[in-house]
Amino acid sequence: MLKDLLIEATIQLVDHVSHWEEAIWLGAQPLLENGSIEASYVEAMIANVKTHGPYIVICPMIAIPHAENKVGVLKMGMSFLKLKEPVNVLDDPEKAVKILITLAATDNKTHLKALAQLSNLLSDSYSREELMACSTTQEVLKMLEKVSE
Amino acid sequence: MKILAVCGTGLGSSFMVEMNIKSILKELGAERVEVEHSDLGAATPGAADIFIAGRDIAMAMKHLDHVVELNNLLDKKELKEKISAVLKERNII
Repeated sequence: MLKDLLIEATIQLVDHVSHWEEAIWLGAQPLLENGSIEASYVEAMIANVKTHGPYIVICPMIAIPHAENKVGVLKMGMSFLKLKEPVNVLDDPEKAVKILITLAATDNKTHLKALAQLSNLLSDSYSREELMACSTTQEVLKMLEKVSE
Repeated sequence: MKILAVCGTGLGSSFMVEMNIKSILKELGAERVEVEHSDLGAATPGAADIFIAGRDIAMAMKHLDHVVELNNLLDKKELKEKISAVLKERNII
């Protein structure tokens, strides 16, 4: 469930990062700390963007960094990073993001339930705007609570 | 008839698109159309009748026929327009 993965410890709100790779590292930090992933997974996520392009930007201002689960994933995890100032993925101004939701999956099935809830949340333009307007962890948690019902 | 949603790893965005396609097919009364998701490697000719991917991934799918390109992966309106067009073309709706 989304609300079991995105908790106070895995949600971060930050003003500014200087580069998109820094944003991916920072976004993954809670998962490194809680033992979901190893640094090699973060490197794989960055390599994934360099290989396949900025497709992790799934809608304006929102990205879901992830990579194949072959390297560096120890257990399933998800983390949420919101930036006050957008950062451009691959330095492409058309791929500016303010929200990064990092995904770490142990197999292709276990994360689907949480991802389905996330997808419902992000496919709704009204809740996207609401999420974009959140300025505290508590506000983000409240929104996640709503979609987990 | 089978639609395959494709992304780089077959783990994240392709599944989100698959879910949205399913809900749109339901709205259109075309539930018998199959939908799956996969990574780029599994998107081979014959794997599906229609392939759907974001612009960056679609650029790497030039070897396939019938690729539908999405500008915004999670925009249900864009997805519905493009799916409807494809289904009408094939007399499914």
